[in-house]
Amino acid sequence: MNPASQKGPGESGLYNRIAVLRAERGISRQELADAMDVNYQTIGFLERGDYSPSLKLALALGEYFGLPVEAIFSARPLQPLSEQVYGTRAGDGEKRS
Amino acid sequence: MIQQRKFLGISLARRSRRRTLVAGFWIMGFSFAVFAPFLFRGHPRQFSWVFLPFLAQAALLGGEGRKGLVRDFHGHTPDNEPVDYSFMTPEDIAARKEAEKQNRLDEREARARDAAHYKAFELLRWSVPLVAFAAFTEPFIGFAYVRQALLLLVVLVIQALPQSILLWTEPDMEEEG
Repeated sequence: MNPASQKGPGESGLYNRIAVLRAERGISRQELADAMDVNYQTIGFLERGDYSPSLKLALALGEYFGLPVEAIFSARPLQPLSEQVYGTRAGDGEKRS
Repeated sequence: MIQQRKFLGISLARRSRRRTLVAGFWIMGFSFAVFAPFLFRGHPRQFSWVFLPFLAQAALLGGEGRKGLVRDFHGHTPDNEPVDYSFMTPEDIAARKEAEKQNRLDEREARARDAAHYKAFELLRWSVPLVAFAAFTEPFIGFAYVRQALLLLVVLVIQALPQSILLWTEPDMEEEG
């Protein structure tokens, strides 16, 4: 588990990739909050895994990031995105060299 | 759920500061409830002191209207019915929408508000019968000041408990951005 790639589960029991996706796309909390029509503090709660979103908000986040909901939220620890896409793990590069 | 980040120039982003403020509010409120009936006895309008907790709650803690530390509990939420704008001029609709936007509670805030009211109700459910029992118990019968103090305390608790719970429990606030 790469702690930098995901947050949670916090109080909600959900792991999520919102912080990673937001950082990857250079979106501020406020911008995401405005797009989701929620308070920016709510985005912080979601990122920390302290709030479990409604299905409507989860779907809206999925639509915003262009990803399925299960790529953003999971009840189990999420793999780092690079590992999921390319099958590489942390330290693999060092081993090869 | 907290709309005012500062009080008298002091940042309330940290929960510990909010808790200090809440504790101060309740010490003052409790003192007021205990001493007001004694201090203002015989005053021709002593009944009007019953409204002081309402003013303190509205001006400081919030929850009712746009003033105060906590956001308006009556703000439009995602679960509310769509607003009916019929028979309104475009200017009125624009003004109404702007007001709703400012007062709006998102789903987490609405949930936090409801949870705070539930916790407050659970506390009141047990404390109000105790207060009523105390007011009817032998030593207090005929002792109007004590009954007045208890009633003032009940009014204060009913008015300010949900806001106090929210201020007490909401975690440290993060910077915008």
